[in-house]
Amino acid sequence: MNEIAGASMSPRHSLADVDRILHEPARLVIATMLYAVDAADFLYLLRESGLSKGNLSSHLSRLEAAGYVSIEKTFRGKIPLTICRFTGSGREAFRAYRDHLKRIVDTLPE
Amino acid sequence: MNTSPTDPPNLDAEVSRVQRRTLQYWFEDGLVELAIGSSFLLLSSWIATMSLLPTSVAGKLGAGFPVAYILIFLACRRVIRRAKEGLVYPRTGYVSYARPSPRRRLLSQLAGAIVAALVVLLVRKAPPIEAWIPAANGLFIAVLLFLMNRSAKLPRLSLLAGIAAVTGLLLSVRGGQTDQTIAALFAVIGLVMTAGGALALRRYLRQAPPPEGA
Repeated sequence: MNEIAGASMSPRHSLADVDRILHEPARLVIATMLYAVDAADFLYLLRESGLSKGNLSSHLSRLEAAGYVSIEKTFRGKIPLTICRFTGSGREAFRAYRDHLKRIVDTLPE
Repeated sequence: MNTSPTDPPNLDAEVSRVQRRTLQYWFEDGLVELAIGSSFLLLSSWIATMSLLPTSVAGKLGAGFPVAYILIFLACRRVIRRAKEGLVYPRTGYVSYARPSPRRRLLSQLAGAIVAALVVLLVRKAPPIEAWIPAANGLFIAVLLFLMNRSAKLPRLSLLAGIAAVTGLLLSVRGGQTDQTIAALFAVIGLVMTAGGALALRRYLRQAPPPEGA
């Protein structure tokens, strides 16, 4: 049984069980943005997240490796275009992550 | 991002904020208002032309109005998409929104066609309540704008909804030939929308310079 802030919690409500891929702040920012849309390109995510190109690229790769995000590289004319979208499992993982955090908060004392 | 999305109690609020922000992004450049405003101006010209022509010719023109109404708004979507591809996406990035279900799209198109048919019917064969047709139209457009804006929550769209409702009411109180007052209502809404869109586009273009090499 895990103990958090003095509260007794079931293992499924434990912070230790939180999805570590999504729990990282920069990746959570990206995931939150992708959750709100069908797809977004690299430029949009870059501007809205405030991350650097390298940071955004490495976090997207991590999300892609986890199967949460699909990345499609195409061209619009001569301009390269990187389209990112949540996969079905990514969307599901994000919902599960939100629920998990909510349950943790609900078990905390006032 | 101002708040940390990892702060558990704020995650839902953060998701809502980001969702609202992405919806606002659709309206940020003013292209939507420019296109819809231009459509209203076109429809206004159509109705105004109908009122100037002999009844027999106007009747034929009126019969084509529902089709024109749908075609103009369908063309409007295409124009917006093209304009965004050329102007917005290279500057600030591309976003695609979840498409409404086919059933919802069909219902919207049906509702649009019914409204267009009602407008024509009321304009051509209006009973004694015809004086209130502009008010009803203004209110209907205000409701549409309100629904369009309920997630994005942009003040300028709320203002536009208010202007549509008040203009319709004022035109009804003032009286006059129904087709002309409807043409005037559409003209006012079209002008306000295109002006608002043009200002928003100017601000957007100033804030988002063209990408390097473009």
